[in-house]
Amino acid sequence: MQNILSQNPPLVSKFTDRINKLEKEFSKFKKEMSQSIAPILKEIKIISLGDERIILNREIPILLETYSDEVVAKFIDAEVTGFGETEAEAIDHIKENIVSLYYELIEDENNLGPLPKRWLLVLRDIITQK
Amino acid sequence: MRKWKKNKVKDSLEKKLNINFGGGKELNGWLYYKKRKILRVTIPKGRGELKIGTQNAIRDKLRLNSPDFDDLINCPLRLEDYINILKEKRLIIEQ
Repeated sequence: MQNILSQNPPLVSKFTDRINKLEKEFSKFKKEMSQSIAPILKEIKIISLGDERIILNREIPILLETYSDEVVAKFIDAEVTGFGETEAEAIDHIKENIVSLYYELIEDENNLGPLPKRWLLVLRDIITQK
Repeated sequence: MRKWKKNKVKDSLEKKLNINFGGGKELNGWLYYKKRKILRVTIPKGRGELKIGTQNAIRDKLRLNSPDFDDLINCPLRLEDYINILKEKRLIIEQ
């Protein structure tokens, strides 16, 4: 085989081109696959938002979506998200985002659209201010 | 699915939807319509491409499908078009 190839440079060139093309396609396919893989889902409960002004009346369910290179934390009922490279980071961020959402809703309570109104109802149900 | 850079998404939302981002560890901003808060969007800080879960979560918050999200970030979808989408979804109700 090596002999045949060494005697036929155009054939070698053709094979090389073909292999390079396949390598590129495989690399692209690998990238697409890694992006399309569904996340691993896990539900956790948080018992504190880490804010001294607030007490939680009950645990908050948080959905963790773990991808190959990121974690997205979601509190579905109030549509709050937190992003991170690790679970701990995403949870830390979502806690802060829940607290800031609560105060941003309260400060504009009379000027809320349908969605934010619902979020405030959800948050009032679980949060008590000290 | 097209992947977008964080800065591009943030700039588009600021310029086209007049969302002002601020906050702590992550950027949070409100979409207002006639002085009412309609939607809140969260974007991670930093540069580089948005990761797939993050981009989907942002798109989801905006209540847009992938093509409309791409149009919003890329240009064709204007503020008026977006407001109409939200009205159709009953997320904006004229008083």
